[in-house]
Amino acid sequence: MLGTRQDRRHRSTAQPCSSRHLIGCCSRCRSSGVAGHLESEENLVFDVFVVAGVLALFGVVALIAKGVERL
Amino acid sequence: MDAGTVWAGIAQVATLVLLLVLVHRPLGDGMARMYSSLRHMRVERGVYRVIGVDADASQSWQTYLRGVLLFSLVGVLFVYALERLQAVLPYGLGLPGMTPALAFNTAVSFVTNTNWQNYSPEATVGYTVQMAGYAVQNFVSAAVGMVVVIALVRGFAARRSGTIGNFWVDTVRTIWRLLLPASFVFAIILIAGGVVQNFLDPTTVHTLAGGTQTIAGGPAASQEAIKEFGTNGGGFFNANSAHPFENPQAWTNLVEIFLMLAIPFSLPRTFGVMVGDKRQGYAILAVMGILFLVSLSAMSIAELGAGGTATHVAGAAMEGKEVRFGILGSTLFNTTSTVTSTGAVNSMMDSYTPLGGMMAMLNMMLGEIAPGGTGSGLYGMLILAVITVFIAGLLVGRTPEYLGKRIGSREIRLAALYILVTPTLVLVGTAVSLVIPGVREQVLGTSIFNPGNHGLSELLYAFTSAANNNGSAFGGLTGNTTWLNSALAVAMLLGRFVPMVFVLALAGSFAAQDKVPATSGTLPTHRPLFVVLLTGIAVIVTALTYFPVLALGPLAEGLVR
Repeated sequence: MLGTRQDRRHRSTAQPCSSRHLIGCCSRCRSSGVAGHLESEENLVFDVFVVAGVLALFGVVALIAKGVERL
Repeated sequence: MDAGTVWAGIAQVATLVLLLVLVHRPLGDGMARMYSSLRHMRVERGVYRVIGVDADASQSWQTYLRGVLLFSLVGVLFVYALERLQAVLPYGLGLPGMTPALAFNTAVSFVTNTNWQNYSPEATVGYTVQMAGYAVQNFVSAAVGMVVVIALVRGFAARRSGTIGNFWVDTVRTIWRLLLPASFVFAIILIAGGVVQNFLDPTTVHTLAGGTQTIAGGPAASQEAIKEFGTNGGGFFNANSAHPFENPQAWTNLVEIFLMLAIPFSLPRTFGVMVGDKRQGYAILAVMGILFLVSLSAMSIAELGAGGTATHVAGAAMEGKEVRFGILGSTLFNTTSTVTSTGAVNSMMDSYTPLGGMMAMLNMMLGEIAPGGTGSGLYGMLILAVITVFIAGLLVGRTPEYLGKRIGSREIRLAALYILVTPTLVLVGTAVSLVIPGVREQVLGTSIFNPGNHGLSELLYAFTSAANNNGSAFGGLTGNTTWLNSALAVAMLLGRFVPMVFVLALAGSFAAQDKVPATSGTLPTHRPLFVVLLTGIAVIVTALTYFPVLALGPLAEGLVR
């Protein structure tokens, strides 16, 4: 469900920000978590990191299942 | 609070109970038939052919679990890709992609049936992501929870079997035969009540004061029905079910509450039918009902009895609550939302009294078993039933067996591990956030809005909500930081799938056993004594686990006031 007090302040005036905005151009961009163009390269690195992290987490669950087989 | 308002609240609860009594039997029996049927519908056969599944093959618990994990992994990656590529998708409303940390948190959140939202939907996600990503996950994540409990029920019902059903068949049937048709009907009902359903861009209007205001619309009704029916809870709008476009009237509020409870309160009947003894289902249902009513009463009393100047001026503790719902319409909704794994809200928990807010937390800490989320509530309760039988066996010298299945060393270890997972994630997650240098500064400086006891409650609530896959938020916590996006996502993912490992392993273990006949040494598990024992075990396990941290947070705050 909903997120933050900060977000709640936004809901009465919530409107989409333009995709042409750069990160940090306004408080709404910062609070809504949208990315600007300047961050795109850094974000690509994060994408790889996130995908690897998701695979690792599911791997941990699978490992636990392997361990449970031996219980 | 005048007597008329209280009676109106009681009438709402009575109407809700009546509706649930009327629906639990046909819905429970229907689900039992759906999961026991050997016949496949034509559409279903087409799906099995496309995904290359042998629909007539029953699976071991390991294969069943592999299906759960693979299906969910693909779901997380798909939703993540949609969120990141939003800028190039149609109906994106001109919005750019989410940041990686927020996209990770949100993708995990919707796939795990949590629906924790660290963003303002109307300012962050367009219609394609809402529909192809979030709405789809609302269906499939609910289905995954249901099929896992059905696998466990099959384990109880089976005799010397190495299999517990077919994950793909169970999932497809749940979505196609139950969730889709019901959600379609209730979406129409909600549209009739004023919930919006359109594809318009946000509309700019001029206010009476001479300013301008942008009003977001969108396909909300189609998402609202499954949001409640699948106990998902993710709002189409940031204000969730407090928003008039999601929940416009008192009667739509009641419909949404009913939707949250319909499946969880019907599943015990399904369980009773499938194990061949409906009384067993009713014993479980009784425990769920008792805990639900006690929790509702406690939260309502805390909110009705709130003191303070503002409360007296307003006539009631209405801060953060919608006038069209009133106090009891709000506490009924939020109790329902937190005893199930929904997490939707129609009022702001952060504005509740400390003890009222603590009840919401306790509902989740109980493991969301009263009646719990779609599927997850019943399997949580069945695990507690196994533990109760074991403890009762130790106390009075009864044979530890439940529904004819012996509870040996392996079974009790699996049940104990299940119980430990969520508290570990909640308490370690909260503690780590406040201890690790760097993280602590970020959490205290950026995330926690209110310092002191209330601030601890906000953080504790966040991890409780995430690890229990509830998704409701206290509201005073800024969750959109790299740490909380990541830590809460990990808590959600492990809080969803690690318990499922133990549940499915337990299902496999029970399925492999033959049934032992009941003897004079068997503890009857359909009698009031067992209901009392199971209720006590649920409360005591929660109290022992969480009392210290509750004493530092909401209890301390409530007692100081």
